[in-house]
Amino acid sequence: MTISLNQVCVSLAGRQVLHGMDLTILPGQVTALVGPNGAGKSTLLGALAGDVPPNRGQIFFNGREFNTIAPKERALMRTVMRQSFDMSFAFLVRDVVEMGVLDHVAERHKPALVDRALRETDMTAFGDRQVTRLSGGERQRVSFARAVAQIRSSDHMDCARYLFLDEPTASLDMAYQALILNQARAFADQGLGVVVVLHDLNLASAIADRVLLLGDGRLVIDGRPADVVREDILERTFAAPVSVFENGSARHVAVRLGNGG
Amino acid sequence: MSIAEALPARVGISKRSLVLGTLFAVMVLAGLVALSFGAYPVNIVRVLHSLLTDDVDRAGLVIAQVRLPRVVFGLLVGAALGGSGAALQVMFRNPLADPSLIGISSGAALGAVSAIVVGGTLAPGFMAWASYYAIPAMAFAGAAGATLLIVAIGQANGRVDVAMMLLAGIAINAIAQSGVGAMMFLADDQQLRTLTFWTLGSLAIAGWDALPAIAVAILVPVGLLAVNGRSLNRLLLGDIEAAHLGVDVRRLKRLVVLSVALSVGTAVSFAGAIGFVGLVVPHLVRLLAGPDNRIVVPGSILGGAIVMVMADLVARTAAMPEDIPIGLVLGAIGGPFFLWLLVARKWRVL
Repeated sequence: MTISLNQVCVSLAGRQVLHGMDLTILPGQVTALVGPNGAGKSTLLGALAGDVPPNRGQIFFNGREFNTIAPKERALMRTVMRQSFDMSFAFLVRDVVEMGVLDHVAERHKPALVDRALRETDMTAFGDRQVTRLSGGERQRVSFARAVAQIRSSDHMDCARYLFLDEPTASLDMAYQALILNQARAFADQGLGVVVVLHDLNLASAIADRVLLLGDGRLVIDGRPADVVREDILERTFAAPVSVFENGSARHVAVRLGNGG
Repeated sequence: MSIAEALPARVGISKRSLVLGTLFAVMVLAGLVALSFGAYPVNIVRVLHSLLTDDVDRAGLVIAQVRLPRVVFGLLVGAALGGSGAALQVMFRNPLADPSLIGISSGAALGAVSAIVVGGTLAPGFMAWASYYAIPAMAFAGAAGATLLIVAIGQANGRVDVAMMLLAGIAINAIAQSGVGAMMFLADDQQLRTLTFWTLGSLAIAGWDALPAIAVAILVPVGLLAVNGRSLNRLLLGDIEAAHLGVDVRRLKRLVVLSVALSVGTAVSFAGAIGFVGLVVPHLVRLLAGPDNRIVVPGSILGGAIVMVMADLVARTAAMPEDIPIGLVLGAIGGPFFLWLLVARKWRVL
């Protein structure tokens, strides 16, 4: 049930963004993608999700080339949450969450699945509100509830299941950052492969089993948080003065401001 | 608060069956009313009697030979415009898309008019024989060409650029209208009489002979749009999000473009370019039932049929025995409604 990338290159608008990625991504783990702006984190996630086809190389889900799998089956194999979504029609939150329930689920089971997804994401109170009247952060939480509905509709199915999150915490307060990342952790413990793009190295080292540090479209280092979140590596990749504090098993990263260092 | 919000979320029957069932009943009623009014009034009981029996009295003849084909034709044209408008608004993720506003109807009109004038001048014998097929075929080509052009210009990287879409629609309308104008300039007197109705729209040419083909060319594509409501809902989240949820986005968009081109092309080639139905009807259905396209698309098909038959009733009875072009009637109702819509959006009432 692994994903493997074989020499994957992606170019966007004529610019080579990923250069020959070789990777294996495992189920039951949280894999964090970190790196400077423009390093190719979101592009790598987009390639895994099937949004941007590689212009060279292949991506295999459990040995099958992802490009050749039909859209409906892809939807069973991977759930994707991007930062937010535009909507100019006044759908209720529960309608949008229901869009995440996959087509094989019988009509009569859908409302219960929607209620469960709302409950698991602490969004029950929002169910009957119009998405057009929500803030950016609230819409992001709707996206997450929709993703949970999609995952829950493939529970008990015998297939590869992955969850891809692109900056899931970008416009959320601390409580919901924790809620989403704890949920992601719980999905990994239930056997899903979770891949998450994170800017915040503190969150990445707190949540991830494995951290992939990207720079200029290449993999700089791949390892446990303790192997990657190190001053020398981060200073070189981010080109900024960085301090790492160890506190028991946790690691805290801070950029040093000012010229003194 | 819309009426939809006032309905209990889980009553015994679903909101979908309630709304669509009501609209269907209203459509049947509108059809019966339209059959009963006219130069020769027939009461509704007689209308039902002559629909259900083979009596060939005078009322029966008027209904069977004159009014029924016209009412059926009106229902079909309205269904095509309402359903297409709803689907276009989804594809462009904007409530302002409408076949006439973004140039699809005038593309179809240009195709139809070119077939009459150019075909009729270059190959009159051939056209006399082929006009049944050549005019709708050219209207379809014009509608498809305009739709593809709008899609190509109005979308970039899976995002819709609304300003570009509307501006491109204005340009396509201008090009098509000057094309229609040029054709009118080239046309002889007899062709000119045939052409005038394309610019204003009319259901007057309805007759039984073409109706079966029209019915197929409209009901199949709008039916396909109606059964794809759930995928259309997901498309509103964005192309990429829809693909994440299992929608074959390219196939769905191809289906929308072809269905809109075929149904609008057919409607325009037989009834002329009729505006506003595709814009106004989906809005009314959304006000009534919320934005779920499993209701909005079939609801707009039924609602379009209702509006068209009622507008035609006004068109043929308001100044009897004259037939007012239906485009004038719809413009007089649809124009003010569109202005109200713009103002309401400006003041955030909607």
